[in-house]
Amino acid sequence: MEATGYKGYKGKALSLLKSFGVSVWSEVKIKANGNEIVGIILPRSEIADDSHIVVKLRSGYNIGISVEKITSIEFIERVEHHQVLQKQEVPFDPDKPNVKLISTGGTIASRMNYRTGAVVPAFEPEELYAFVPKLFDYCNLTTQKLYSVLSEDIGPEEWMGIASAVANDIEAGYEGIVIGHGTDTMHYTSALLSFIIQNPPIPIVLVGSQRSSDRPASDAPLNLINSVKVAAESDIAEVSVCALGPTSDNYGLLHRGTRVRKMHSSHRSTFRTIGDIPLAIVKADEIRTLRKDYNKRRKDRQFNFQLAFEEKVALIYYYPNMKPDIIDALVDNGYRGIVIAGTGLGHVNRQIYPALRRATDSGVVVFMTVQTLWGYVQMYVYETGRNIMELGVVPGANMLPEVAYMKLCWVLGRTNKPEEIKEIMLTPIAGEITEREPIDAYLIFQGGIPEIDDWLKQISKNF
Amino acid sequence: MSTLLFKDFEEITENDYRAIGFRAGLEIHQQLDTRQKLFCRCPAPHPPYDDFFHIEIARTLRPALSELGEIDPSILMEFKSQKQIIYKINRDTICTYELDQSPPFEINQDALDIAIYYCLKFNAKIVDEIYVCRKYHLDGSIPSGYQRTAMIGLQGFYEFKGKKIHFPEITLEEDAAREISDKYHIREYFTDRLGIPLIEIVTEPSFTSPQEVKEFAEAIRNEFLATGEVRKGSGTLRMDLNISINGSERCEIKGVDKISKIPILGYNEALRQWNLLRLRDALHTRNITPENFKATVYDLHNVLKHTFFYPIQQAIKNNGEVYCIKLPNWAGFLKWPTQRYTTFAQEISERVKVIACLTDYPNIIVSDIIDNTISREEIDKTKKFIGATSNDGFVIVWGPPEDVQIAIEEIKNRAYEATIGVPSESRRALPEGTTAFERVLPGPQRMYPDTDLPHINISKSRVERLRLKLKESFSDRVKWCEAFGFPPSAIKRICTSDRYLLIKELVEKFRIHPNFIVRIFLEFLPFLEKRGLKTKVLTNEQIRTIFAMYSKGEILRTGVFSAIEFAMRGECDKIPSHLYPATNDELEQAYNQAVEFLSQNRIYHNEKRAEILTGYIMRILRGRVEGKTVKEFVAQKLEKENGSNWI
Repeated sequence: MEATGYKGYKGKALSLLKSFGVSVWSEVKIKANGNEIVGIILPRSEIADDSHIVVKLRSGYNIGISVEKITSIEFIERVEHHQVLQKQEVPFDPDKPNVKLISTGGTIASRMNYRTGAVVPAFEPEELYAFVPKLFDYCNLTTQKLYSVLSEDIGPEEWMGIASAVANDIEAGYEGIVIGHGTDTMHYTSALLSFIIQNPPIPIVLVGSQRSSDRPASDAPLNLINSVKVAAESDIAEVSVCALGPTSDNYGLLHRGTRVRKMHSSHRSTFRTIGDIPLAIVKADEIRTLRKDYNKRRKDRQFNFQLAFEEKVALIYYYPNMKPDIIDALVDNGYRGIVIAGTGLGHVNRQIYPALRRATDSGVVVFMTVQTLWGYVQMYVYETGRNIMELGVVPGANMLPEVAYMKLCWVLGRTNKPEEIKEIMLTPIAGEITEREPIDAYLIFQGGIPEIDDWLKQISKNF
Repeated sequence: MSTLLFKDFEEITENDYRAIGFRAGLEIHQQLDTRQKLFCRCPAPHPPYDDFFHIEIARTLRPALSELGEIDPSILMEFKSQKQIIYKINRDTICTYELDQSPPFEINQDALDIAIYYCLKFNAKIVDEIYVCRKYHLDGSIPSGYQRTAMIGLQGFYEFKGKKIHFPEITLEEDAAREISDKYHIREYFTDRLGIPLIEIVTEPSFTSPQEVKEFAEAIRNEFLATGEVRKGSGTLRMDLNISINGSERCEIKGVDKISKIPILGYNEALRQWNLLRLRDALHTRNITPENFKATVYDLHNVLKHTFFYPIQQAIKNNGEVYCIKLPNWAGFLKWPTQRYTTFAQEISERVKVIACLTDYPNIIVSDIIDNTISREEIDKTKKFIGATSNDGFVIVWGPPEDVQIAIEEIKNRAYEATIGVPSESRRALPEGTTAFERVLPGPQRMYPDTDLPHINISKSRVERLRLKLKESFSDRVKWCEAFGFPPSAIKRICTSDRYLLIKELVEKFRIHPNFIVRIFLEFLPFLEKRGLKTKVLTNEQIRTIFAMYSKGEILRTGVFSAIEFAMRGECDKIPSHLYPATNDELEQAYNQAVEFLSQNRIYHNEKRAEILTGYIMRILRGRVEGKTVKEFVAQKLEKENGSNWI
């Protein structure tokens, strides 16, 4: 029997299974402590102990049985795996726009394979058609499995690969591109793509989900429908992120790729536009734009492609009691750029001034952003700010810390002239710096206030 | 028996049930009394629930594959009737977890303890390693689409009337939301119950009459109440009945919340299954078999477009469709009786309602029951159009086009199933004791492992600790009560009382007479409660102290009542100083005061002088002297004064 037949079992449990000639996915009759238990042997977690066997009972429940209690295991039959989600032939309609769906991994692109315990990509068009047929109402969908990495493992290699793939697809004539991506780092990718692919002629929509598609309440189908609709039909030719707006399954929001941030570890309406308003509200039958100043869709295939990346850049979240050695270590290790998320209007403590001075003197560029996320860096208001600027730290306006970080990586990949770096950093390319903060750009309501509660009840399903 | 008529509910006996092969199993869902919910730290609210809510959210659910790669039929059915689901939420008792906005927190250890405790109580083997699983429900009763549940005990049993009733599986799970309405494609839920831990006990189909099920359910409920780890009140204990008779498939009656309803529900279900089997036989004699089954569909739009029958008129006005399904040779079968007061047409109508979301009654017209719907002329036109003879049956259905297409399939399905017998399904208990179709029966395919939580090892020491806690069972308590001579009418209430152990201590340690116990615990405390005092504030320690004083003679029997009232009013410090038994001097003094009082007031009925004096003295010496003592004392005094015997 092959090794995978004992997935996760080791030590005592493994030898027990072997001694009775049974393996994972065998239906068996187990005698333990005078009881008879009929069930299917399931794979066991790799990190679990070696003294239990996991069994799926006929009622569907899983239990672990202590190896010590088992006196015999009788093989009944091997359980075959049925794939019911049949692949269906995908329709093609020459009148519909062609949309490309690129999968990079993450929750949205995956389905748990309960048989092997592995997460398998579910991004074949035929599978998607069986799962969410509505996608094909809007367009002819072509898919490409580019990567299969988790959000946290996305890095420069994948970024360069995604950007190149998108560029190729724009040139190939697709009318919209959707990128399936893990949600944790989606806003990093969306920011970088905004800088690499400037002035695109078509929508480039990143989409993810907070619940895997093996759960009935998954947000994956809705997010896919909304993002594919945007890619196929909208005239918003920008790099954007499409995710559920309210906690209800009511509508999606389309966020500009440079102003969006994941704001909750598990909420399905986790993405929020920070310091501005979103681009559009998206429903299955309607895209309602919320602003006019977006890049419009064009027929041509022209765009400014600037593929570049410098890895030696750090993003530092400042905290009181920060010691200079943190900065020193970066400089000593050859880092070329540092983005600081400072307190308040963009401040750090006096203790690290010398380290900052040393950094800028040795050619490291240092940009300041705010850890409050909302609001601009303003380093004139307090003396501290002026002092820090004198050290050569450059205020980064209202760029989000993560966006400033991705931008600096990109800028340093293109040039090493300090003045040029500063100029590109502070010139808005894709809305990462805005001239003004609208009055409704910062709306974090405080729950529990009677007026807010009343209002929530009124808007209920849109909250 | 099958050739005989089915007896009326009032007439039917255990033997009649045995003759038709009645088999029933019971699933009991009992909420556990924990402070917090099972997988989050929300407070677990107690019933009765009100309808207050802060916000509403709307969701949709869709099916997913199980770990064996199969979709459960019940889930597919629920998906067919794609509904928007509205949850009404009270922010004080619902957090982001219940709304599927946060991953689960670790399982509530108190709830797990209670579940293990009941497994031990019912002689089950505790599972060595507990795995939380997801039980998928696409009806929307749980926002995540699945109920988290875990197998805790295997192969338990309970001795009931000399029979061993087996519980193959005992599980711990979170409660679901409470459905409040279901109309068209919108279903609404209150979320007050959502997430409260409950224990589910499933019996084997060991019962042979509904009466037996009822008695068993009572016995189990008494066991739960006797141990005091469960919630009390309406809706905290809910049951599902699994019923079959000879030749039928198992049907499940869900949501039985009153034990007293079991006999009528069981009767109706047995009757329905029996009638459906007879219907099958009748169909077969007309050569309508699964192989020969035929149903043809006709578009009736042109026939009925000018009808005055309001529902169809409206449907056509709203761009809906009207269809007719012809069932050749079915004449008379659509009004075949099923339950008391229901017919086979209702079985079809319920399917159409639940699956096709045509929720306004009437949602179908059947050839056997046409009164008060479309006109005679329209019927004739319809018959002519579909080419139906007087031997044929037909069903007319109308509504939005998509729903009607689903309805047509369901009508055909249900009619086809009649040729096979009793379809296996979940039915909902209705207040009048009948049931209605809810969904097809779910199978094990709806179970998935929960990847969000680690498995839990149940240590031997934990099990042993809980085993030590095992209290006497209800039946042991009854025996004890009988041995000590409690009045029979009080025994059940004593045995299920929260203060049973205290009562036992009072009787055994302080030698308190059972009648006095009954007087205090079952009469006096409820009386005070009615007067607005909260008996819950009274601690067992306080009661123990009061009875200890009583048994040592520090206070009198009457003082016990006063002392309890003091304690409940938070005036415990008054008990020793205010309630010591009155001395003779004090009695004398009180008597003199009473006489003084009488001398200043005129008495119209002099023969009541003794009574009035007694009452006056009792008021002064409240709780410190027995009425009998005062009465005798007054009598003696008056005798001395008047030289005549008053009593």
